Amino acid sequence: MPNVVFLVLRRMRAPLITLILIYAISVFGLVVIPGVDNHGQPYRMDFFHAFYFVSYTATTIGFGEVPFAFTYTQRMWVVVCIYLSVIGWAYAIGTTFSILQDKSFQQAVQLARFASRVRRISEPFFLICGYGQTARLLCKVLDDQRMRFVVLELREDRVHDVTFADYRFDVPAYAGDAANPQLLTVAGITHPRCHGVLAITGNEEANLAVTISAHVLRPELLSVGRAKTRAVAENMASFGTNRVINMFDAVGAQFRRALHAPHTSRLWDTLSDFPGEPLPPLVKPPRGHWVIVGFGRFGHAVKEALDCEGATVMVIDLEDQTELPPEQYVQALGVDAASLRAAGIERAVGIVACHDHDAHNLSAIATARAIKPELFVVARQNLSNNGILFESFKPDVTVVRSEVMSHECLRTLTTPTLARFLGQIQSRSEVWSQALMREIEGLCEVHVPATWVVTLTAKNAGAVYALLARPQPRLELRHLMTNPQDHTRRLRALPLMLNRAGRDILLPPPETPLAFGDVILFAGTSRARGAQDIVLSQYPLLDYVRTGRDQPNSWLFRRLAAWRAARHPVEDEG
Amino acid sequence: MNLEKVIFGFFIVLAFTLNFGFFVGEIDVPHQHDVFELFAAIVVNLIATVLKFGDRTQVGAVHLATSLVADLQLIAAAFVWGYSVYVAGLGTSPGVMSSVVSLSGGALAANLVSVVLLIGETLSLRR
Repeated sequence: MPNVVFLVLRRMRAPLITLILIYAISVFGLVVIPGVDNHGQPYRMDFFHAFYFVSYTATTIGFGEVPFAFTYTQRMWVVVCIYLSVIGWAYAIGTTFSILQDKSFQQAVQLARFASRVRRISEPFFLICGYGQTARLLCKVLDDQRMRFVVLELREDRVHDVTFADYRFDVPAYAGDAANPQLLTVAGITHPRCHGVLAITGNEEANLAVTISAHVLRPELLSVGRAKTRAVAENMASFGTNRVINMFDAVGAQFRRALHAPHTSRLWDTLSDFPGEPLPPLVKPPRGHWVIVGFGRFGHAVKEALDCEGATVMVIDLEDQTELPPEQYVQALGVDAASLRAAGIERAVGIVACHDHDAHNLSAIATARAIKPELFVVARQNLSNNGILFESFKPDVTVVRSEVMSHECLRTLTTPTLARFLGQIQSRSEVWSQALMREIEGLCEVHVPATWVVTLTAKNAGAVYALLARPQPRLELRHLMTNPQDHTRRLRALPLMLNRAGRDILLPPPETPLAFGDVILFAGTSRARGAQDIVLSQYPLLDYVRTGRDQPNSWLFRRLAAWRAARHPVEDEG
Repeated sequence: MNLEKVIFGFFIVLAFTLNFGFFVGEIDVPHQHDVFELFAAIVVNLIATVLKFGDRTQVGAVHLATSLVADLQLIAAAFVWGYSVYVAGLGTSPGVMSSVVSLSGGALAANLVSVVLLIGETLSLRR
């Protein structure tokens, strides 16, 4: 990385030498040219006065002729000096400005500042490569969760967006190619505080390059890569990328879940949504005949899901689909009534509009609804700007690429415990999911709850105190859900899963006694989480939630309590 | 032959020789130390310093450091001279001359290091 100071100095050599020479010549001339003092005696200016005079003349300050009025010869020389020095200064200042305005110089300065800001980060952070719509959504959530991040983006205008995005923290951002491993190092991929790297640029090769660099430079780093094609996804996975996100596969899986088990699907969506958002509605796609308009990668994924669930599917697309049997597709754009009718819209239960163009999707939905108003509508929204249009159309499901992507990323970045829990719920029945969903609804009043993990290990001072230092009375799960201000009230927190010695217990009962080494996954309000944090970090509160009694904290009051307990043993027991 | 190398060597050696010229003579005798020579030494030293800007090798860094030392000492000598003559009113007394010349002697040592570096660098290139 270039050192900025040296860069400036090197390019300032010529103007600086010019200035020194001009000063030297001027001073020398003034010293050599004979003058006359006030009494008419011959006089020679000394170096001190000459330098003084040149200094204020060259900078156009002009204090007059010192120490005595000049002779004609001296004045002639001074005229020369004035013009020389003005040229010298103009040259020096001009060069300085041209350096400062130089594009490559500004880039060097920005890089140096970016590097030093990244170096100074002392909290855990994520490195986000690419600042598109996905990254914007994700950054907002990370920011809400007080997580720090560094942004690397190819396009300069997007980097400016980071600056004006009003995040809580000062986000270091730099416009550069994330595929460059050197730049990744500068951006903190080898920083000890870097917890993960997300390769979510729009460029497939760049994403692959980032995941490869991450694998080589920090193999243990959490890495998330976005892939559009299966080949790249496999390539990424072979480089140890922890999570490869293929947006279309994710959509397909989501759609299949919804078709298969709507309540479980809703529970899944709720727990992987951003905390504080309204709860996702129950989506119950009907079974029967479906029409897919636009057969790109999105359409393929949805068709696969529908095929798996035994629905009949008709596809409308402009391209000739050689892989499909001719009775399964109609070659048309799909926005007109004729082609929709040909695809059997009258007997269909649902339509999936998944063109690359929002206008086509909207017009297909409008036409289909005119023919059959009760259709179940799945719409693909390509541009986030068009959100208002889709909202007024009210499709049953709107799939926005950036939202799918950011949810997938977030699920990976948050704890693996949650991912395990989400895996577990798929094997549970619909009734079980529905019951749990009802509890969650009660917990956070129609908002998505926060999820967090409590690990009762040596890193947790409260766990050491309550389980090892003072194990009586026994710490139970319900104690962690007790309001530290009033032990009769419960915190709005729900234990979802307890992991003990490698075994996962779903929905552990509140009376479960806790053991050292337990990992508990909670869902609840962020206030409950805060209260629980406080309980686990303050020993008197841990005693309070276990006994229901306020213990005296200071030495004097502890003695007093002991003394009173000795005097009135019965009263205190009551 | 490289013109840049000639100019570079010229200024370094000139800075050294001018400094030496000012330094030689009885340490406390004013008329053996010419004020013009000190002026020239300062100017040439400053130019030599600027010429060394921007070289980021280890040798380049030491070059720049020695030049900065020489500048500092020579400017200090000039300042002592000017201060004693115009502010303190001591004139060019033997005491004043001694400190001026000894300061320039320090600068001479720094310039000597510079010249040695230059020669060493040239010899190590073996071209």
